[in-house]
Amino acid sequence: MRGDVLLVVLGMAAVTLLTRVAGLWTGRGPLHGVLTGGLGARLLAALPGAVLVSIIAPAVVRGGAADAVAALASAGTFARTRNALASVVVGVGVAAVLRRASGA
Amino acid sequence: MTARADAWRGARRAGALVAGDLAWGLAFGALARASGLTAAESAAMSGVVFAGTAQVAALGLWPHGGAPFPTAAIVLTTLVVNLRLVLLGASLAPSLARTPARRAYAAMWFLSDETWALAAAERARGNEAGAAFVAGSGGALWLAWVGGSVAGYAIGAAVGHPERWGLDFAATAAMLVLLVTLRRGRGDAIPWLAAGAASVAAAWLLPGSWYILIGAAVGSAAGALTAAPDASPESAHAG
Repeated sequence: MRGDVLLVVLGMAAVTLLTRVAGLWTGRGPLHGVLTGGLGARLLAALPGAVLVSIIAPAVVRGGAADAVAALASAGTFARTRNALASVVVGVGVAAVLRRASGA
Repeated sequence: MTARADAWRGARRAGALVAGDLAWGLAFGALARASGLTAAESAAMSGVVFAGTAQVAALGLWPHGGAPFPTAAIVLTTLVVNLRLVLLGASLAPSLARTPARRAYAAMWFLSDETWALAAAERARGNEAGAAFVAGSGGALWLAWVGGSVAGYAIGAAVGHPERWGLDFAATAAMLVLLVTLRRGRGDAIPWLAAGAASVAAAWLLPGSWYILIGAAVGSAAGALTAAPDASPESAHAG
């Protein structure tokens, strides 16, 4: 492994670890009261869906029509079958076929 | 004993996301090979960083030929892309409040969008999702991510552009599954639409990955402001 690559990988690992523990640290310490009642708790309750939508929506918009149809197929499969694996497979399959069809 | 049972439950619940991470890992391995990393460098990065979006962003900055190494730029980009993990870690803190610090922090090594969303979905089902659950689901996802990266590197030449196989879509599909799992009803419409509009606009206007943090903040605020006052704090805490 090259020295400069090792340095980059270790640097990436260090800052990632920092982001992984920093939230728990603030949540256990300084922010504990804020997160467990009132407005803080309501913000946290709405957070999971908001984060997922914020990851998914720009990715689908960037991917264009093929990704939008694949997303609908994937979500529809899961809503109907509750089979998560099947919906991932359907999403990947539809994305692959439509991207090829559109020459992307 | 119960910790072991919780860890297994976490690993089992991770099922579909394991498949998603495997496919996404294949895509990363193939991209890493195309970007000029060695097999060991690609595997090491997946093993110790374990953050797909940040790793793909790093490959985007990887130097070609003999260009100087943009170490600071890659590390800074990794930090920005992963800032959302601070938010996710803070949101897990209330459910880990009674877990001993050493165990709670050790579980955070596995914190990712997927492990965190699995924990949220598990709590939405009315089950506990503590440190053992996070470590169990995270361990399964880590194996899939590293295994997928190694396999993707090995078959990289055959895969070519992973987008052509839709492999990069696996991550989106897995997130969609979690989103459907989290859905509580009509009350989700306003925060989710707000998050979608804000993140898409931010992705269009701003460089990098700030759009995740911006969309999450706007959607979360919209949810907090529109939630029925009686929905808090007990039901919010349970969810």
